[in-house]
Amino acid sequence: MLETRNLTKTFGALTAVNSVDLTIEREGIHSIIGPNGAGKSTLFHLLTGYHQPTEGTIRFEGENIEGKSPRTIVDKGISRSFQISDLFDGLTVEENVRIATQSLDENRNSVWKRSDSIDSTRKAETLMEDLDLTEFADTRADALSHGDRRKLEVGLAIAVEPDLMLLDEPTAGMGNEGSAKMVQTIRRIADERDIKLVLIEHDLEMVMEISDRITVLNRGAILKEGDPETIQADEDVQEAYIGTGEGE
Amino acid sequence: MIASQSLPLLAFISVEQAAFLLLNGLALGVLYVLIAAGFAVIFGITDVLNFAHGAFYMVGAYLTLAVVDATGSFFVALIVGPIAVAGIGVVAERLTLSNIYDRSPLYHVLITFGVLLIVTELVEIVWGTGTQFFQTPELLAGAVQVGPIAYPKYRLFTILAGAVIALGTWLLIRYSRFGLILRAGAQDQATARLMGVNIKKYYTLTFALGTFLAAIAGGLASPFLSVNPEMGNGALIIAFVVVAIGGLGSFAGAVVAGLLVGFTQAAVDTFVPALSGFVFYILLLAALLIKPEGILGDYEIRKHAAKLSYDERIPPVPLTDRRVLALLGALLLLPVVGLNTVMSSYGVGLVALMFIWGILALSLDTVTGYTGLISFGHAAFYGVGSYVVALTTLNVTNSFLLSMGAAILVAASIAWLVGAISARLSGLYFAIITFAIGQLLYQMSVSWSGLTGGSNGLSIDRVELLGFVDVSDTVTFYYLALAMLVASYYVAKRIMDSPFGLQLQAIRESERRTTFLGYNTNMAKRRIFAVSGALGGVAGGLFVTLQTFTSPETLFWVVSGDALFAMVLGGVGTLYGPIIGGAVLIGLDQILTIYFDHWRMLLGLILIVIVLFAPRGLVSFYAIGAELLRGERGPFGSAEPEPVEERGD
Repeated sequence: MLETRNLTKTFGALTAVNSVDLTIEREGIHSIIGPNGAGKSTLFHLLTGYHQPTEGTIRFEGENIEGKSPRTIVDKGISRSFQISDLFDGLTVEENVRIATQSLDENRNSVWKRSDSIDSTRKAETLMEDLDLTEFADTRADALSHGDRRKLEVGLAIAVEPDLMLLDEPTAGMGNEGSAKMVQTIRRIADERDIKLVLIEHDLEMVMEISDRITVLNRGAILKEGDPETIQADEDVQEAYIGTGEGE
Repeated sequence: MIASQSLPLLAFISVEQAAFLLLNGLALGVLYVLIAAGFAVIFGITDVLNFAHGAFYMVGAYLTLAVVDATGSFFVALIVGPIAVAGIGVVAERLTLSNIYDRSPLYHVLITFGVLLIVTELVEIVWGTGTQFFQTPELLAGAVQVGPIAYPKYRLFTILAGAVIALGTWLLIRYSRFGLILRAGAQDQATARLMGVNIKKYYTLTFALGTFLAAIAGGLASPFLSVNPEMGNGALIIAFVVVAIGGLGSFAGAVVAGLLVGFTQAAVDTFVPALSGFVFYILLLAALLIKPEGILGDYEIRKHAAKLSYDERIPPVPLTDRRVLALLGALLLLPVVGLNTVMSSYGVGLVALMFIWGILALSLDTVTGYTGLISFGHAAFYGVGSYVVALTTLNVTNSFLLSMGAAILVAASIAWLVGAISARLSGLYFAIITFAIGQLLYQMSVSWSGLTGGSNGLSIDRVELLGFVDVSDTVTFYYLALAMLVASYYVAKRIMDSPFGLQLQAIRESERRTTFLGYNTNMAKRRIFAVSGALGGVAGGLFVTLQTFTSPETLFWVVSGDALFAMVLGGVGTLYGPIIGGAVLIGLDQILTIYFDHWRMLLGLILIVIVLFAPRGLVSFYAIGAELLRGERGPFGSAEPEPVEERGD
């Protein structure tokens, strides 16, 4: 589904992503883990056009997308969420979701229709129900609890109906119970809507439980790749984590 | 220079000419560096675009002059005067900016504009509006031989003094503890605070340093430029242009760009004097097109995206259909009833002028209130609208509909172009660029006198609505302006309620996220800027029809400042609030001017009070009043302290 070859990003003297050959298959949940500064978020930035690669190629469904703008890449079917929630704070939850679902509406640029009367409004309502956010429809995004903000963050990525969704630590800063529930919700919705999930996660226990395939990044390069059992048993991976502090 | 000795350097320039050029360029450049350095220091550290910078430069010149008069020593004055100005700067900062550093840059811009209004009027009260004569100190009078040429001693002194001051400032920022804390605070306020640094105190000191530099530049410049209340305008433009070319907030960038602009100005003055007034703007536009972040801009533009955050706990007065209809009915009846009782035709004209300013402030609200782009150049569209109507009426047709159509078209096209140049810039860069383009058009209207009548402006007489209704009649015009206001509001409202309007508000809240939802945000910004420009053009076209006169004043940047003021005064981001704000501001303006010479000082005070205590403008007074009555709110905000919310992200 997605394939990178020799993908490299340098910032001055620092090589944040170093010659990464990553293959993401259609089936299953794929997680990317690694210690802080391993280059996980930079990798996402490259895949979504937020940063331009210094070298290398990215192919999505057989088409080269490196060097394309974020907007073009979303159109091709890759959406993402951010590690630090990037919401439309001054707008209501309903407007947040609606601006996202509206992006696919044929009337998205209309200047004369009412924005709450076009077709995509229905989709927004459905998605809010799926995310259990309906009761906050009229609440401003900046007045939500942290957990609900994370949910809305992922909701925006879902709303643009991607084939592939890259979630950057969707449960960051949430308690264990909240995280587990959140992951359940995301999996359910992704299944229903046939969205391939790629996650960056810190919670190793959860990663092992939900992932079908895991890529371990360390210092910008791929250290190991395999199913959870292989990764868990790998000594190099343990070394990489212990070397920089467990799970951090 | 002795002609017989002149040596050819190149085919077209002699060694003497080259030497003059070099020294003139250096003298101008050093002055520009000093003017811009203070501005850059303040911006680099506090993120505030200080519109009062030119005013402090002007006060610097006046106070230096005053100390010279008192002590007889220019050198004492050059130290004491600027220190006094720094003191004034500290008082101004403590009373205004220091309370609102955490707010949107829109309010920073406005509150410094308020300070500018007050300071300028105070100077006029103390020293009058005339030009003061500043004698070159005896020691520095006359010329001295520099290589092949005799050069004025005072200019050499300026070069030397400027270089010493700039170097001293650089050393201060680079190597002192004060400088270290400033740079740390600029990087990361929260951490600096955790380290026990009282960051606000350092912001105040920064402001003192910035105003000191502005004032000493004013003092140095006075002997060879004229000292008058207008001189601050020129300095403000220099500061903007130099800092934008050098890279926002970069001190070294300001030095490089200041010298660059100085040399270019000196060369253009010598070889192409016709372009003399355009040097700043041409350089700025070139810099923006080639390297938009500036020569030494290491600055992350996104970090400073001007995010407008609204306090929704203060809801504006709801705009119900009944209220709208009642108001509209009253306005329709006003001339009919008024003219027979209390109103003169002047009064009817004044209300029509209020409609015009309502349209102008409304046009600004669509880009600033809704899209989050701070435009400090809306005078451009207002002025262009007025000139296009005047020129079409004089040269083509006296049909109002046709000339207004042309005005809308031209204003929208210019706005689209401005949007295309500046849409990829966000936040305060946008404010600077729109400001500069507005001033460029102002300069054109003054210089191209064959077309525009220069500073005398253009007068028109009879304008007709499609050849039969005389629009010059005040009552007819009143209804025309009212109709245009209602139509403008309707169009703006429909757009903001549309999917496109929701996009604009999303851009205001987070342009990055809007892009990641697949929207072309640059296109959206260009489109709304064109719409806004068209509405600004409508306001300008109506203005010239009412006054039968237009002049470069309509294009002057102070009009842009007033438009922002009107928008916030009424209630930013509500569409109808700005209409009220525009009406109230121009109404106050026209009435106060009858009774007070220095009424703009009062406007400055009102502006500061609004920004500090009622940032959501007049439309929030109803809710604030209700809270006050219930005792839920003290005069300085909510009675209970805000709960400090720690968010994981």
